[in-house]
Amino acid sequence: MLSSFTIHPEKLAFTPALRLQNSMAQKTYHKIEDFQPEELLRAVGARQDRAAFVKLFAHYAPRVKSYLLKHGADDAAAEEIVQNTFVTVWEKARSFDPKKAAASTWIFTIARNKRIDALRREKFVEVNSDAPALAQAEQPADAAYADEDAVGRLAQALDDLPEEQARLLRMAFFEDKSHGAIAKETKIPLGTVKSRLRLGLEKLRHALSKETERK
Amino acid sequence: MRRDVLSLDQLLLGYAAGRLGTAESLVVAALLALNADARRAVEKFEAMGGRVIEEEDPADVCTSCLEEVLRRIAGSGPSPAPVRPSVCDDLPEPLRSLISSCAEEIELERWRHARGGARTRRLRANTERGLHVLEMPPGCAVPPHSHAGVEITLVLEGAYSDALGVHRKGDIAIVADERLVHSPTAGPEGCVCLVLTEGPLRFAAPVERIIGFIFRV
Repeated sequence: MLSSFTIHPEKLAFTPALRLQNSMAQKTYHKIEDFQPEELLRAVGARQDRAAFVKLFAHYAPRVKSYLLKHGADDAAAEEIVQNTFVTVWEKARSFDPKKAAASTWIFTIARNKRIDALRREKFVEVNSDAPALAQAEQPADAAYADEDAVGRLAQALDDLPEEQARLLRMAFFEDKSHGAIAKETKIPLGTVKSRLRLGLEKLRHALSKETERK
Repeated sequence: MRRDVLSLDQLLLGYAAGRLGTAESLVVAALLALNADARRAVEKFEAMGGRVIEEEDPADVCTSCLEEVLRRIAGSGPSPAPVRPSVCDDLPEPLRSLISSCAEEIELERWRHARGGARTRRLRANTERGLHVLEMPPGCAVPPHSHAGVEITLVLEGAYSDALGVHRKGDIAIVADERLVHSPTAGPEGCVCLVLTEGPLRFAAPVERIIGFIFRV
């Protein structure tokens, strides 16, 4: 049942009863009942809404900083990357498309790129959505995907991952841990770690394609 | 995209998590521009990143941090994308645009001619690995060889076939088995590939071993 409540923040905004359940379903980090990051980001993009921007900053800056600290930034470097991240959030907000990504995901990708630019001396090559080749490929191939439910279904797919797989995936993903290190830490045999990671990745990869086939 | 999905997933996951260096992220960025399936997979992995950000314990952010951001964005609206001059007009898209966007990090060497009308061009990035563009005319074949380490090949134009099957534009082939001997052969339209290698090619025939350096891929 909960699945139907976690999906459409913008639609649910018209139904106060549902919205309450929505915020409850989204765990405790959304204590402010009407925190609608996608709406806020759209307001920043559409009319350079500073109040909306400050709300986004208040929610995400501390979390982005926490992510950066875990990846080896010291306090000063983390704050600088947070600043660079949010300056880019402001500048690029117009390109945010809530049909393609949740606000948290969009902000994550910016923070990730700033982290790499700052902490490593290497350039992280980004896909430029203005690239001619991408623009061409975009239209027919992604038509089925760019529907309003896609982001919500993806959130659901993440929720549906068995806890163990989700935990291992996160460790491999965000803590730069090798399979061996994960096996040691979790006391799960190496072969099992590998196969569970593989299953987790496959589940995610197929999460939306199944939906598309059904249509 | 058919073979070795595990390794491809790991490559895409590495991209989403921000673990890849310049050369690897260039290959993945080019793949994403050409291949909608890969793009969707990365979007899923990035959504996991968004989830993790949402669940992080908030760290203390100094109050001057927001003030500084507000000062920096004062008076600035969304900025138009910078237009960069293209530095490599004889490379196919999306590679041309991608390299133009990071011209400081990737140095383009000149084309070198290889056997059978093929030519290669090294992209020097900050990595130990070899990164080359390989252009093969129709029917051209690289002599049978195996690899020390993993080889990742992205087809940018045309198609080639080898022991693993036919690889078309937008396909990526990951050869992680050092015992696999293959002889990539361009299809009737010829083929342009972006090839990332960890170690040197090991040619199967003694003669090729001697002159193999010609195919410096």
